Amino acid sequence: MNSPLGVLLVSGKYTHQENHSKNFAADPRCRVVALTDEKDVGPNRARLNKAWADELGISYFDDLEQALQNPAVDIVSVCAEPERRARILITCARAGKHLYIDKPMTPFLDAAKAVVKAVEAAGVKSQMFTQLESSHFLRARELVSSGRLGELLAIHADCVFAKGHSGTADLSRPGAQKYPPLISNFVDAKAELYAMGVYPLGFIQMLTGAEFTSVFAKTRNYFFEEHQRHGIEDFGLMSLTLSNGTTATVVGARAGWQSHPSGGLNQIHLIGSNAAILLSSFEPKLVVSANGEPWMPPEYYKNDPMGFWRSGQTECHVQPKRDWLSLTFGAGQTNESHFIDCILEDRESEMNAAKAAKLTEVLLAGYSSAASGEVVWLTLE
Amino acid sequence: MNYWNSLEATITTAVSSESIGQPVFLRLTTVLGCSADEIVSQFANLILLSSKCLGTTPVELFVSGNRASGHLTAIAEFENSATAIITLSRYGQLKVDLALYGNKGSIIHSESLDFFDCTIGPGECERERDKLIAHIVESSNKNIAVRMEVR
Repeated sequence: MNSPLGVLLVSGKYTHQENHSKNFAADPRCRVVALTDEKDVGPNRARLNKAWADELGISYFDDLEQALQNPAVDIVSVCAEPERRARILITCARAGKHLYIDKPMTPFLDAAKAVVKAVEAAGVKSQMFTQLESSHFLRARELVSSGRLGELLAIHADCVFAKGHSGTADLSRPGAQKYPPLISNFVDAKAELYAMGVYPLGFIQMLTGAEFTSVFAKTRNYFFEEHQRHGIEDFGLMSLTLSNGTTATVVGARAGWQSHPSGGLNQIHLIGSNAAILLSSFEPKLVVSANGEPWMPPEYYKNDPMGFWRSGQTECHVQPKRDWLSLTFGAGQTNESHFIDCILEDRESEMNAAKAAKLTEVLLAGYSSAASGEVVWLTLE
Repeated sequence: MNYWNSLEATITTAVSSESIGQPVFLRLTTVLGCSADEIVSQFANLILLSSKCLGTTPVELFVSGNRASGHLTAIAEFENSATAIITLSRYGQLKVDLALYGNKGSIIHSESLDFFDCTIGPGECERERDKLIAHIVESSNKNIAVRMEVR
């Protein structure tokens, strides 16, 4: 291993690499070496990759295989589009590199299993990005392990992003879920049960340590014309059972810039035999009231109308919401630094490729249930 | 006016002002101090409340949990394709958390119920409630989504 650890980025601007690369760059135990991608990416992706390499002041190599031969690379941070992600991860694992994986890992079950196999065969560390360092999750984990709630009977967890210009869908035309689902990053729409639902599912997985055993899910009406036009859901609901007897429900959604006084509903409700508690990423908070113009959403921005990416939000001048100031708890460590800890301490991440593959399976079971109207039992074949 | 009646009246007023647009989905999470014998009927009352908040009638119900577990969860679909997750637990401090999303905004409410009159009486919907109780029991026993006739 190099010291500091060398990080190679796969895919750049208009992906979550914008966040991950900055967090890696901020950790003194690693150094961002270069940015790369597959040789055959289209001109737009190549242009966005080059733009992000320039932003970071690093080199862009347009051949992943060649970039992986650089001995200065220890970790690869992979943020390629969902359809390409698994094969890139397998290539990187076979090259002996540790894998930092954007969420969710892949929408394909066979591909998820193949990634796990490649990681295990190579003996490399892996971690999928989730919110495992968020203050409300850390508090939830502390409370569950303290035993103060008693036996954990149920978990209700939500992630509803307050982004995008909602109210544009025709509500007289609800969606009919297809299986397998369409999972692709359009400029103006993503499958949000997949993209947002993975966070609460990850919380439940990490809090219980149990296996998901059944899923009932529903995707139906829309907030956004964009999702309706593409035929992909902007929200989804799940009811789940776990192997330890705990029941759970999940909401994964995007509901519009003005649907929340802050960033959106991001909460975990723990129901124990002794006590119940609601933990939110915005609680406890200060409520600020002051002179000044009320918060307004940005103008519609065709390059990133849903506010998916940090640079898209910067380019369309999204203003921060200032009415709620959250009190934060925990060490304030980033997800990327957590992964560096795992590598340096030679331990598995709580959200390694094997755990991420389980979440792919649960999400697919959810889509299958939403399409059939029936409970889907795990494991999926 | 007790807590639930006041909550329903306030939400109904807010929804009818159309500031949040047409209701799209509801998340209602409750901890109520009901007995094991009361839990199913109280859960039916919460579904009726949800129906009033959404301004529509349920057409499909999937319920997990039962009287013995002290915890019930429903995913409901309504006549206008709105959806809801409704949960009730007997354990813990009495509490309600509600998020009602319209297509143009949301209503969010979180309250401890320790010092409110929060009994839910049979009210004028006794027949509807009895039908719902039957659907809740059928769904949770058979582990299926139950289709319901529209009034």
